[in-house]
Amino acid sequence: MTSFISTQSITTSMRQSILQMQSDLAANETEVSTGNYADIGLSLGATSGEDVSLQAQTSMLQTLTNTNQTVATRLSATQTTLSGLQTSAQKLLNSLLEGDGSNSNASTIQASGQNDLQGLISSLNSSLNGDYTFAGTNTGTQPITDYYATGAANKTAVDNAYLTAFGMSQTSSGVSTISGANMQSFLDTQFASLFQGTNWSTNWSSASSQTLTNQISESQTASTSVSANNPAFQQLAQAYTMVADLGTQNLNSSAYQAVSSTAQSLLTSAISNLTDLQANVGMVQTDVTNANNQMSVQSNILSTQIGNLESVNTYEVSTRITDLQTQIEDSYALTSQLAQLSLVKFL
Amino acid sequence: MSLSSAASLAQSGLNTVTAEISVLSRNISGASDTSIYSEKTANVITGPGGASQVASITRATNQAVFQNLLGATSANATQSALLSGINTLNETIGNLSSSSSSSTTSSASSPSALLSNFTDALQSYEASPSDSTLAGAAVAAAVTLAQGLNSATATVNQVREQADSGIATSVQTINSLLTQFQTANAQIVNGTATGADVTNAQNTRDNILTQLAQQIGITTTTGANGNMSIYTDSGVTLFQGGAARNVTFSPTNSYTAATTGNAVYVDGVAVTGASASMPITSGTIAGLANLRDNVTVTYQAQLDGMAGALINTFAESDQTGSGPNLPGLFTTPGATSLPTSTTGLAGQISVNASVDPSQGGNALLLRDGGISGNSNYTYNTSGNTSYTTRLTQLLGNLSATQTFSAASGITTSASLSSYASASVGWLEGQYSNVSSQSTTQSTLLNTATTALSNATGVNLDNEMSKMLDLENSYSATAKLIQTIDTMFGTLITNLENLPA
Repeated sequence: MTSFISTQSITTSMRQSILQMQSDLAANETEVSTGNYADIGLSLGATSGEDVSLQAQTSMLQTLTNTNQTVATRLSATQTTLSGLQTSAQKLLNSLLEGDGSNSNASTIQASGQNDLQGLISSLNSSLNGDYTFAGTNTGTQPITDYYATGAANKTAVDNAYLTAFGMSQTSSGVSTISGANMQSFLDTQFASLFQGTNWSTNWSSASSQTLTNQISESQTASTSVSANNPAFQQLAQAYTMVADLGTQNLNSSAYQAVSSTAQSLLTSAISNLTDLQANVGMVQTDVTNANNQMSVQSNILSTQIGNLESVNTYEVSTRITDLQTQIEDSYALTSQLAQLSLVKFL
Repeated sequence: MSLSSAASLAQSGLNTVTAEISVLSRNISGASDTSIYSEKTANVITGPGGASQVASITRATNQAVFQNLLGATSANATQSALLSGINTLNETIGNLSSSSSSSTTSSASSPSALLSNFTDALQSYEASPSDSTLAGAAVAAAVTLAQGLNSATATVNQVREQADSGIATSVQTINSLLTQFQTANAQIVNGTATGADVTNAQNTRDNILTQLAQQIGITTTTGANGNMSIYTDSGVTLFQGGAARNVTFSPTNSYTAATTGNAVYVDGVAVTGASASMPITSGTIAGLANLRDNVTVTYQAQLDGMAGALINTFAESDQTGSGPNLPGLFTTPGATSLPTSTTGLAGQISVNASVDPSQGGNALLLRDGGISGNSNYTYNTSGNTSYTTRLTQLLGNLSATQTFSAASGITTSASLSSYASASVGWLEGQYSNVSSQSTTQSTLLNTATTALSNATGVNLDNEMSKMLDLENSYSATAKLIQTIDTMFGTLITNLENLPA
């Protein structure tokens, strides 16, 4: 059987294969220059959904890692403040213990009590990026009323309670007549109640007891701030105010003894509470670090997966390009030779 | 047998050769026709008395290969119509690559990527809820997301409008081709009956058929005298008994998500659309109808599903009483309650003006609630600047599993972000599938074209060698006439020299 081929199909087939090879070459060149498939959607097809979802997950991890920096900064500031407060509380406690109930250095003690109270207030009112660190969720408002500001509600409340209990102000010289028992009773009841419940939230603190919560990884949520309403701060405020503003330097020995011992027990309890707080904050810090490390590992795995989906083997593609170039050159040579092959040329 | 009869035979020989040369030159001129050209053959017979004559001119045919070509043409047209539509839909996804670090912000425009950006912005804001810049960024990302869904819907509608007008053009083409076909067919029927050369008309008719197959899948049958009937691939009559049937379609100019396009009718029978009793399966019209009535509709349902889920996810509930939930961050213009149907939501979804700083709103409402304007729907009643409960709730809702309409053709129960990714996967799956189908069909069409060309086409070298034969034959005949002439001369001279 004689095979028959039409002139048109000879030329058409050559033309089409050259076109095909040229478009392949263009696609392969894109792949070599980007390292990815020329048309990812075309190559991956329905798997593109997975690719997109991996990308979304990666960017979520990146976001969480970024927000964790804010969280870590706040936690570290909180930790520093807590440790500062603990040191000063310990110092005052030591001074009180050294004095051993004697009112000989009462004025020194009172002065350091004032310092410590001011330090406590300024620490609790510290802010970070315009947010008050110890304000709970109410970060827009300064949490602790400044005891030494004019007309401060907390100072007024203490003054009034003192006046009601003893019939005189703390600065009066008559304070030396207050008996130890009366002072103890005042400290345990009227005075103590000023630092608790509604009295605390009305006169001392505008902080919210609700602490900040943050998502620190895809699955973990952590409490990432400490509220000024924490008992540790209430006890500190109570102890410092007691030492600083009950006319300590003029008290008689037994009343001073009452103040000193109550302050000591409050400070001891406050220091222990502070330690607990520090431990809690430390644990959250560790959690954040661990979450960051874990997310970084996860991110690497995801990147690898995305790479596996999107990337081409550039070596393989380069080889393909070389092949294509050779093939295209061959096609050109063939086309020109075939054009010569016509009976017309020999007639 | 006399010299004069020999001369007349030689004469007929010359005529035959000339006629054959004429056919040959038609073949040579047709060799590079891009449309179908079948090699013509002059059939030479030896008549009574030995005179040769061209009895008829026929052309090379191969009905099986030609039918194959028609089928391949239709199938290829279906896929390329579909592919060009899906390519346009692909614009809604943009660049998929994650390789460059800036890609997530610049080129990725898929609803999925925009949703991911928005979730990230919301997550950042949750970490620093007092930061109004981050609130603004989250709202801006929400606006981009809503606009992304709006423009994706616009693209879908545009594809549907183009498909509709493509169908209208296609229907016009079919009607005009059928009229031309009627003329060519009549020529063939008459010519065959009278024994005239109908090869040109046959070529014309074949070309019309291939053009017709481009628009709509067809099958043909041939009756007496080459009278041809055409049916759609579903069996509806397009042309029969020398008369073309009417193909009708009334175009729809503007599409929304709720619009259903009109069907194409052949001879009064619907051949596209859900109600078609005899739906066509190939040709441009079939591809465009599939695009207009299925692919785009499904994709639109996915976009609408995302928009509906966004509106519901960010809905606010009554914090004081038991009022109905109201649209929050995402809403539709003028909405006073949550939408009851998702149809067309993707085209309408927008960000509530009360929370959008660019429209004079307060971005912090994202944290506090009360976006709907009703103070009973405020979550942050204490006014705390680092209130995160609502934001945490929103993020929780975003990643929670939701129920989606089955009309979307993808999962019905997934988180919004998985659903958005699945939608990208669905579209790219369609793209990849149609693209490979299209490549296959185009290769098949090439093969069929080559096969037909080889079966019925012209080979120039072959024609040239035939021409040499004819040339020789012509020379020989001419020589013969000359010889007969010489013999007559000799005869006459000898007669003159005869003694009287």
